[in-house]
Amino acid sequence: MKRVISIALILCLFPVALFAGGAQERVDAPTVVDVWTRNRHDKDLMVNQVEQFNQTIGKEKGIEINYQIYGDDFIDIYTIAFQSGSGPDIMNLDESIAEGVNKGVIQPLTSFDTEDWVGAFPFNVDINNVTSYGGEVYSIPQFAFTMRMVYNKDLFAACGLDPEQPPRTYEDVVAYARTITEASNGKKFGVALPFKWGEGFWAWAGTYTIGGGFGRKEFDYRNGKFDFSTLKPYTAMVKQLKDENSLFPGAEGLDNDTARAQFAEGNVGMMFAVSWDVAVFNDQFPVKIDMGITEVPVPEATGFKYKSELVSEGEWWLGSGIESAKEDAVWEVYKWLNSDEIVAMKYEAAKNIPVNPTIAAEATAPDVMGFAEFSDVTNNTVYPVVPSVSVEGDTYDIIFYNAVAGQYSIDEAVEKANAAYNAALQRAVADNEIDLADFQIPDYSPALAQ
Amino acid sequence: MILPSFLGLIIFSVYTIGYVLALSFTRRIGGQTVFIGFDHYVRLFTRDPNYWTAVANTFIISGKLLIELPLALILAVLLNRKMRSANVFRVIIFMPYILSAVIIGLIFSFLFASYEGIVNNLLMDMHLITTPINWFGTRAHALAVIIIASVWQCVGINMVFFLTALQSISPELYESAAIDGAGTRTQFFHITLPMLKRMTKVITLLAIIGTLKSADLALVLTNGAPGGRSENMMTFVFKYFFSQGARAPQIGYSAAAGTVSALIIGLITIAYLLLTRKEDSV
Repeated sequence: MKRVISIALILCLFPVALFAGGAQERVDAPTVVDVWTRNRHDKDLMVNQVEQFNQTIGKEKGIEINYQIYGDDFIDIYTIAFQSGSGPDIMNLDESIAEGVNKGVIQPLTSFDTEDWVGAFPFNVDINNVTSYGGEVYSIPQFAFTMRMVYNKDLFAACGLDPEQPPRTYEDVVAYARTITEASNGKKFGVALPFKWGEGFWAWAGTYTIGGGFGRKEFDYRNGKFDFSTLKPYTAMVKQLKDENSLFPGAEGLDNDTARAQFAEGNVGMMFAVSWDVAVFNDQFPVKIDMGITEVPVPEATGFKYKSELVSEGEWWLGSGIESAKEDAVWEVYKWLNSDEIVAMKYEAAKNIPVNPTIAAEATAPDVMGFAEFSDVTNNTVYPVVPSVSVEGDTYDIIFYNAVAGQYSIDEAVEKANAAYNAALQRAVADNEIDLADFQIPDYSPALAQ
Repeated sequence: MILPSFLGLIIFSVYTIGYVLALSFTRRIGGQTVFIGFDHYVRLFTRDPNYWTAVANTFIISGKLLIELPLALILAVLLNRKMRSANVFRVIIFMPYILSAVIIGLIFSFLFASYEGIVNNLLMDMHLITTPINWFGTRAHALAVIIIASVWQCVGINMVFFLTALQSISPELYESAAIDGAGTRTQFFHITLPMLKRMTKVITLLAIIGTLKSADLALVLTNGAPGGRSENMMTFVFKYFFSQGARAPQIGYSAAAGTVSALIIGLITIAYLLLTRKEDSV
């Protein structure tokens, strides 16, 4: 009998002991926060930082970051993961914010941010259709691309131009290019513009900065319609460069790599460049010249009145369906990923350019040729988003190229582009594809340059 | 027994063609696929001259067959002789065909570059031109470069087809003709050409279809430059399907353009077969 009672007691106590042990286990086990990224350029830095977090703050607060780096098919990976209920807690987003919200893969920061952490950022984080959607903020625009003009100081000096006086206006660009081309006997040329690359690159760095002169791009935010007249001076400059043979020969067959290689070799006087070209001119096509970097010129008529464009997007996003038990830990990690410490560290390692100019000013500038010049965002700002429309016929880059090639006048190009894009906008509004209120800003006033 | 093949046909042909056809009647609006009837086709036929320029370019580029096929035949006849280095030449001529279109595009980009390009330098050394030609600056020049590169790429495979056909002709025919006093020219026109007729029909058909649906070489070589005027049917479809330059993808419209392009290729193929069938029966 005693034996039976003993066995019964053991059987009764066993689950209790088991659960007691389990409860003890759960208290000790850290909360795992899954962070998924497609960023490979800062892999070593971030893996190291995550490890340090897990050993220090993580141990103290019971949080462990599971940092996973994925490849080019990142969007498919996280889409399938969310469909099967195993998506990450924090992630990069490889599609537009509207698509992310409609697919249900991201959620706003609002319900997590009980202390107005978002409101404390010293720059505008609420960029409609970029980091915010439907009036709610989903991400912080921490990093940016900037545009500059790079120029060949050696060639400037050889052609009698002052290497310390880079062009400030489109008129300067035309005059300097003419001087360089004429002085080089057909061996070196004023400007390289790769018309071949996607038919649109020629418009990229140059046209992204037209805001410096006009305070807006090709969209009239106040009236909610496209107005390409801002592209007229830029197109006129390119046409004059082409007509005077100051462009590097065969622009139509020139892709961006060839253009950059020719610049690095010293055969080109000036080029429009994006911040990622710093890596290109240091590693891919190391420049054999003394390279100068300056703000992209503006039309003489407008001057550099406004801040020019800074291309930025949200870095980290909260995945949908985070378990309520994990919310505090996820928010802790989210804030850490967006902390000044991490942003400054990425800047010092020359991995990213911070949107907040204070961080670059206070951090140690990386010892990478050209990075500091591209990182000064004092006179750059993120512009409101221009609606993306499905235009019929030629896109604006081709329309304006044809004006450069002399198929029709630049005024006609403006009319054609306005007609095509506004018709597409009207169709999108009629189809409820676009809500004009998301893009129209009746009291829009651009940020003035300092 | 035939089930695996049948399944393959259903999955990779019937289903995919049906899917593209279905896509051509839709448009993505606000993340939803919406049925829009024949709108894309109406746009294609009434409001998009760029597509018809691309179709015209495709036919102009197809004109390369007038050079490529006779050249392939001549090379095949020459290399079908018992020559010491025939195999070396065969390999050299065939080699471009196994190169990637990307490599060929790069080679010809460098050859026809305006700055220090080999072709321009050669023409200038021969005093045929005084200033370098901008080979990608006009539609005519850009199409000419595509044609030259494409002939260089494809002449080898057509030469191999002709060689195979030539080697199937019985040598006794030539021996008999020689005994009867027929010279090389007579043998070529009265034995070789008639014996190659059936094979020539197949080679021509394959070359026409291959040329009409070619996209890769043009994309690498000109990417539509200047200003989209060297696009062909397939690069047009490609650029509307994927985001290119300042254009956002328009998948439904691309599917409609793809369907019409497939119909054009199909119609040309049928026309060619009908024409040559009539000839066969003569």
